[in-house]
Amino acid sequence: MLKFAIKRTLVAIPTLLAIITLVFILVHMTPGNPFDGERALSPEALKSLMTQYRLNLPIWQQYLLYLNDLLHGSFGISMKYLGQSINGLLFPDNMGGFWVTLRLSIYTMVIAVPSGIILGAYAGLHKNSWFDKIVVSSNIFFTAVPTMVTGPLAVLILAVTLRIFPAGGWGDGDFQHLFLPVLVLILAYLPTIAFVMRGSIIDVLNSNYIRTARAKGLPTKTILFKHAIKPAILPVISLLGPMFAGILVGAVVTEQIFTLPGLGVLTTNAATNRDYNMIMAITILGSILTIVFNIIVDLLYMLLDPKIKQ
Amino acid sequence: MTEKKIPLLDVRNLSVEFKVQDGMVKAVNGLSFKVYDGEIIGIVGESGSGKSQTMLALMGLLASNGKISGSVKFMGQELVGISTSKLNKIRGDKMAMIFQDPMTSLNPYLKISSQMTEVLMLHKNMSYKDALAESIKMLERVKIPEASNRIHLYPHEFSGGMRQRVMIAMSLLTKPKLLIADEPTTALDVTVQAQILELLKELRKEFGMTIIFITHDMGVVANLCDRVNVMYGGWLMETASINTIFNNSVHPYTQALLATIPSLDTHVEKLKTIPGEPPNLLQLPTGCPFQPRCSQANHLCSESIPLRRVEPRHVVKCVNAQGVVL
Amino acid sequence: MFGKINTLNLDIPKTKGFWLSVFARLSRNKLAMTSGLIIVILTLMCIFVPMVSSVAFDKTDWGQIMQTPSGQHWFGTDSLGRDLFVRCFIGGRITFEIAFAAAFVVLLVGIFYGAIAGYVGGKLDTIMMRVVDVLYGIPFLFFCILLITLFGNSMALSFVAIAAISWLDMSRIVRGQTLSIKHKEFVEAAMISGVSNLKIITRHVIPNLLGVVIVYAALTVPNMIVMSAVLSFFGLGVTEPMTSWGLLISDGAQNMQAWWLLLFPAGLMIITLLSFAFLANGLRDALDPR
Repeated sequence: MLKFAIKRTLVAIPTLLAIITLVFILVHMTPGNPFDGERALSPEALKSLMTQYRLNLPIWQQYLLYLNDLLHGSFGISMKYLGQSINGLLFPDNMGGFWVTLRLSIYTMVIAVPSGIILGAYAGLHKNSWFDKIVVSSNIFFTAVPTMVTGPLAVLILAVTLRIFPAGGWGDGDFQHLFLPVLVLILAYLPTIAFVMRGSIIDVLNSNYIRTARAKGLPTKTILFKHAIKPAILPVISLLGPMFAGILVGAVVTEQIFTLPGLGVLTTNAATNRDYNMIMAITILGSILTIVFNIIVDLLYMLLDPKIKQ
Repeated sequence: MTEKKIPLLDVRNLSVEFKVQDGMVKAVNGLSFKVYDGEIIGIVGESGSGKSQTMLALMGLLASNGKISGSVKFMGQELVGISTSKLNKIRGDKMAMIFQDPMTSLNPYLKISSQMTEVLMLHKNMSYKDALAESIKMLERVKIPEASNRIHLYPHEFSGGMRQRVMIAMSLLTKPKLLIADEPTTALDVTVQAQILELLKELRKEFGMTIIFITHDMGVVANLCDRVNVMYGGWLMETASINTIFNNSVHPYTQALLATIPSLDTHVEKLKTIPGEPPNLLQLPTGCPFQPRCSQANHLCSESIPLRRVEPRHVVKCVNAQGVVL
Repeated sequence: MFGKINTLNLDIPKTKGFWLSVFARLSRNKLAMTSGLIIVILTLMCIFVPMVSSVAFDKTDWGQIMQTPSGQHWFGTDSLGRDLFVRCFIGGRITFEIAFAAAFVVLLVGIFYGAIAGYVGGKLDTIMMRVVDVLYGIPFLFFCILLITLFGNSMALSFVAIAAISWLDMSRIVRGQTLSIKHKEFVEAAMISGVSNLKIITRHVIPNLLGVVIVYAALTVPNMIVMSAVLSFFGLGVTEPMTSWGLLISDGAQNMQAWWLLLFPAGLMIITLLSFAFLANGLRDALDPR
């Protein structure tokens, strides 16, 4: 287990390095320097800026120094808020930046995954019931229609018209303020989880080994909870890897809708201000999270499936 | 084995239907047969003959769109229509089944130990420790080497033949009165097939079991069975003792099946087959389902054909048969 | 929405009769046919409504600010007094343009990349698929924003950015299909008889991928619509006074009191996305009946 975890992590490192390199090259290939747009800077000021941002060094030195920074957990300095470290903006001491996005993503996962599994299993066990039909059709709807459409609609109905929830803002991270954004995110992912679970439980219950279990005279409960649940959950697990990257992005979009102070604002600001270092940092942070989460999912899968132990 | 004894299994007028998109498909039609203690009954037929569906029906394992009617009495108890929980007291305990495909019939996500001990813990109220000891004994009995270690492995760590031995051991744990074997050797190599058949014969003697053996292989039947039911298109075509079937069979289908057995004594240019295709259950002809492929078919074959008793315990469904209409 | 996997198993002989029966099956699927019809109608409206309309999409009218829907302005007007009906369809036109163009590039790149990787195999395949793995590790939205920030904000660039990161799924699917086609007898026969690789890829492999490509195309266009809309949400891509569905929805989300500003573009987008989903489902069922 530990060996597999280490091996899996080692394999991920070159991938991450490749991503960092790609992003770095893209940013530094762009013609001109990032301070072109600024009000006419005196040559001295420009020179000191160039030094501060190491832009006077040859590109390979810049690259190595950037890698060195990353290794020490630093994303460098912002190009918009001159001199401010990006880490301070990304991971502020109070609630904001990455913490907002992370909390939204975690709430979504923690609620959507178990309830998706339960609802999907129930639908699969009652195939063609009205409940099953709701699961199937809501999957079609919410797979097709993204959060950027469902989010504003939810605000229009539940916040503006019915006035049950506030239309946006973080508040102090309380239930009232978080309900709508998390609901919108859950609606985007739960139906897919439920649908996959539904399909897999139907497949598993039709399998030969479940027939054997029934032939042994085992009660339905034992068949479900001992024989069927593990193989039925595996397809859901393998779905979670790619889904996490989606939730992360979905959370950023949701922040935009509900004006939450997360990575979304930082991204928009960075884009409008051409704060390359910031966008680079956010992209790399997102990649690290995606890769780490995929490793976790792989380990989980390995724990559950005896066939890939070796 | 006299006629007066109460049969272990008494199947009367059993029908199995499946609801499909275009209506109902009859997989088994009014099947009746008896199985007495200690017999090995072979059920023979091509695919689509209804032989497997009959056995799944007995075990209550039909697919959810399947419907069963008629009567099945096992040790005097009616099985058709009883609740799942009552059925669960019988299947896996007094009546067990082994399946065609050992590669997929064991749960790949559970250790063999877990899959075996649960049977004893459920039906015999054993503790895990006792159940484990008993399971290891049974694995040794079916000649699995290093059973006490290998019981803690997962199914994928066994070969196909070994998995079928595990299946057999698992089904014998409770010393069932009746063992239903649904083509247990079809998916295996020929040499492994012979070993498994030999094993079943030994075990039957040792445990005094009754076996229903489903196969399409007349050679296997000759080697193993006391009596044979020949099925085609969901109907019983002929039933008789093994000697009668091989020496005095009446039904052209039975004879055609026998002709397909390759013989070492005579020189053949080409292996014989039955011409035509196995029956399509959605489009069966009226009367005898075998008539499109039958070399002796005549105009009477389209009428409804009764079962006739040619001699005691030899029943045939064919216009050519002579005997008492049942 | 994002990063969902669509698995397909289309292992079928491609004869004329096959395509006829696919079409017959599809035409029996009322939902898919209706969806296809809706897509055609919407496309035509996006082309013609702005052309025949008496008001221009960017004509501001200070006397007609924030009007509720009426006989004069069917979808109402926005905060600058512009007619929302016309704006919805000019926005639809832009959205469709970006989506179709991006989908075309995605399919083209994905098919060739996947087909070459799968067909050539060996080391090249390993390297090419490693590249795909690496790109998969980058959350698409951030990467897209990075590209647009670097190379400037324009409609053309936004579609290039979207396309640049969306061909990954397609290439994986095509590679898988190619691997299985490669081992079919007719392709092996062509290889043995010395037909050039390029010819085998264009003559045998790509035509046999048609089934997957058609279904995937029907899934890619709505994906591209969503992506371009999401970028609009971040103020990237199309800029005022030109508009797109994403921009209109984002605008509507900021003016909730004027419900029509949100409901009409959102409704149009939902109808479009669902139509593509049903069409794709219908195509998949028609190509792969079970």
